[in-house]
Amino acid sequence: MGIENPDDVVVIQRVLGGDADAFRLLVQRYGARLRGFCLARLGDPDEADDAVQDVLLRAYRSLGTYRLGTSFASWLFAIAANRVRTRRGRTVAREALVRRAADEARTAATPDPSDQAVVRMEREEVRRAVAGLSWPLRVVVELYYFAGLSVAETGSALGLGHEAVKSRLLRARRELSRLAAEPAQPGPGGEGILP
Amino acid sequence: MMECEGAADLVARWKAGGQPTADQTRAFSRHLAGCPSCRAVHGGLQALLQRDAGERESVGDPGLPAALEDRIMDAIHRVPAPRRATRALPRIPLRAGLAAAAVLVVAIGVGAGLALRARAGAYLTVSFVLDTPEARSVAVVGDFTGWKTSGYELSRRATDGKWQIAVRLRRDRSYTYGFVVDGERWVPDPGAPETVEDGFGGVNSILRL
Repeated sequence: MGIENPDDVVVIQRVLGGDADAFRLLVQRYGARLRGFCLARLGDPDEADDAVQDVLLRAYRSLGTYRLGTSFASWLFAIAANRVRTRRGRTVAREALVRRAADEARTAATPDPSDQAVVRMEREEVRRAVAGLSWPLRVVVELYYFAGLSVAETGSALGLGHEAVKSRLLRARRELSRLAAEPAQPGPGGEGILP
Repeated sequence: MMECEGAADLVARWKAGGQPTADQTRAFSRHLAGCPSCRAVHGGLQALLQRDAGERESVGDPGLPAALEDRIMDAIHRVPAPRRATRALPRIPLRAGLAAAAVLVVAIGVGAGLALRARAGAYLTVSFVLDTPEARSVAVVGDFTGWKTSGYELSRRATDGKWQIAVRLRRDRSYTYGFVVDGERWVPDPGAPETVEDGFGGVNSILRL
């Protein structure tokens, strides 16, 4: 992904010119990754859907402040990172993870050959591991792996340098490999202040 | 075929900062599918390795239900339209005092040589020149730069002090561009035969090759 998709600029200019319907293109372009990011953070699909709507609505209202020449994805996911952090994050994630861990155990006990079930289990496994990371590592992982941002875009969204992002990703990998091997249980999912 | 040791080794190298290849992650996935013990230990990492190997754009993308998309757009239509903020890059008005800031775009054959032209195929080298002696820095930005200035900074020519950069662009396309002076002032090309509104109260220049 480039630092900025030129098509985004065209769409944004149309929206700012009064064509609200053009915003649907941005919803379609980023909505799924936003939902993946919010779901990873919040754990609950309904809560994630509300968060996606909240983030996109805020982005729409604030679109005039988006600075041409910067990455729209970074700008959008910076809003998302701030919003999900304030949305009952920790409590909901823990409650949802308990429920989802139980669902997963039931799914695992009943072999399902469908690809969809396998993919769903993969997602749950990785989300469970990510939920155990401290916030500074977790938010980088969620933006890079779940939102699909580049290292540069992740840094831009969080106000971090390139090397800081890479360093956190490396630390996160070590933690994740340990957490992924642990039996299913709710992780600490700790909030914290970015150092 | 990857064995348990190979799977563990791949994860160990990934932990240390290594980037797996697509072939490695495919072998890793095949091994996990048939090895419950490795799956229990490494299963949660599979999607992450695939992302690092470039096999998928993101992890855990559940898609966006059409109903949610419609719900969002309904909400969009119920709130006031966004207003343009004061642009971050103020325009330089094209008035007499800025006559020295004349912009010249010159399209020339690649390297001025037929051999180079043949090698370059459908590309041209375009020289963007800006005469603005008071500037401390100048960059060209446009759809061909991804609207970023990094890597597209002009250099001051020793001969006449004008700023210049050569950019290789594909033929038979049109490009939208402008100049950023001192990192904060947006300058359109006054010599451009075509312009287009930029949506921020100014114009961008159009170059057709």
